[in-house]
Amino acid sequence: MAILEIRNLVASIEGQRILNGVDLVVRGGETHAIMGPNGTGKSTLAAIVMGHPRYRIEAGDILLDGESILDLKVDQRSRKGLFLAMQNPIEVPGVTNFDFVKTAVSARLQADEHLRIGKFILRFEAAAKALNMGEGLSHRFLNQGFSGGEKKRNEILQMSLINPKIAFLDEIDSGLDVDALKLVGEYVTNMKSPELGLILITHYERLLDYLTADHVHIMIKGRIVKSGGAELIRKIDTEGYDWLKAELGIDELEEQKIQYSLGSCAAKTLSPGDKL
Amino acid sequence: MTLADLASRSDNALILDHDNVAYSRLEETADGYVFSAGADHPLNIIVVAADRLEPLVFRFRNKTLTTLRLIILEEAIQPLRLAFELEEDASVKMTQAFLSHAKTPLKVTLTANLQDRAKLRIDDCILHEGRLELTDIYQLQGEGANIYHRTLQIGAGLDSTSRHQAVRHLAKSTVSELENYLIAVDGAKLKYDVEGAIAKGHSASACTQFNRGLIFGEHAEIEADPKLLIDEYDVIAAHGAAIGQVNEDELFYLQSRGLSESEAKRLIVSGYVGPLLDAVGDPDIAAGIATLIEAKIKGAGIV
Repeated sequence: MAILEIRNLVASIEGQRILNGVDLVVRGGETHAIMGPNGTGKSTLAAIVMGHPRYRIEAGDILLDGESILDLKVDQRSRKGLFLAMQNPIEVPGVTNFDFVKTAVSARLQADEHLRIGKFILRFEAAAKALNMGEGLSHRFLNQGFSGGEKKRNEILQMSLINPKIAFLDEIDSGLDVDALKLVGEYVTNMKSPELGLILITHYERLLDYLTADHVHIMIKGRIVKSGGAELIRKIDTEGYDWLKAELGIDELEEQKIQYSLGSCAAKTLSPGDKL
Repeated sequence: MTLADLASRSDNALILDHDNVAYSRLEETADGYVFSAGADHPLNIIVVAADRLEPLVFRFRNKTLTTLRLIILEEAIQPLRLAFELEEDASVKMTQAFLSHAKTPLKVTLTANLQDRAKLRIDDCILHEGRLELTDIYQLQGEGANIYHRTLQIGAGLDSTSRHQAVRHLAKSTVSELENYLIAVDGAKLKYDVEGAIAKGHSASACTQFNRGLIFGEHAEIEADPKLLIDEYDVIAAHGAAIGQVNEDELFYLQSRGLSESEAKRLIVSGYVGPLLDAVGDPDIAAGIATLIEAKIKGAGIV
């Protein structure tokens, strides 16, 4: 059973601190949901765990199965079993969806292994059908011309074929209509197993109607400030995050910086109390 | 077996070697080389060395359906001029491969005039070593005429190219699509000047240009200058250019699926190359071109 441990993770970008000491443990078979207002570091956490080179780790550690992965490159982390379904998957013209997934799956094989292509085609087609992706998916260029919902479903299709140990699903619900959301939720639910740990990053509870989370974490200002169960989702759905900020004494005003423009050649960030 | 051997083994090959033209089937007439309607008769045109003052004229009669494969192997002592005349309903599909190397600039001009409903599709693969000057003039003279031109160019070392592409929509319901996929490695400099013009009254026409470029190395340059000159309201016109190094987010995405950095870059490059190789048709020639491409992109550190 895989285990991802994030210990007191502090990270920054261009000198600005984004994560302020995140602690999280995810085991195979568990489903965690990370919720929180915009700009609190949820997607950044996923990107940092995956190894995005833009971010700098200031302190803390990330361990997969007991070994630190901080020194590993993105692809090495992927081959170790991490996966990130992205908010904005890129488009690669000229590369077919099938060739891309085949390359990704092949990258995981040992030197003496080879991909059984016939079997792989059947798996690809079955996943595409189950996700209602249409018959021509394998020949379409990677994410090119895909609708927002198709891109998200394609991320899930890749996940199911790559078969990771720990997967972040970053706002996989955005761009999906109700039917597609239900489809994706049920598909991922069927993927659940003791060999797969899931971390769902979402703003809204609607994804969690179809994909049950065992643990819910609220992230504000680069920290997980509260963890609990499904009752947290219901409370956020009805009351938002203000009660939590009040409960924890988080300076709300600092969260609400106002951007305004001074004509075309200057801009300033207002602090509370500044006069316009 | 060289690409020249592969291409000339066809029983329908036209070979230009200096000013000597050898053609296995048709004689050159006052109208040029004339293709008539009937079964598709693919032709390999091989320019070993061009030293001919007159243009090579190809005339495609009504309803001709033809596949051409133009391979330029050595150099042009004189500028090489090609002229295509497509009559009504003629349909021509051409793959061009510039596999040349020359100390002096190689200059090639292609002019194509398309009549009613004529269709011309060109897939270019430019691997020329040295200086290259290309001019393409497409005149869509008949209603419903259609040109699609896709280019893959890979420049490396001190290669430099200057290309002018112009499409003139001179009738209603004409369609043009120009797509350029450019890769510059080391100190290569590729400059594309792309122009589309729809004259007044030629409504229901569509003119699109798309330029995409990958730069590997600090000294490589790609410059694409798309222009649209539109004098009619009822048309579709669009142009775009996306040129630069492989960006961090693209690499992150591909690497997050387990591909190493070089595999990820290679995959992106394969997206440029693959569709062109598919268009070549002859698998042996495509394999030969693929080998040349591998050699050309060595400097990108992805082979």
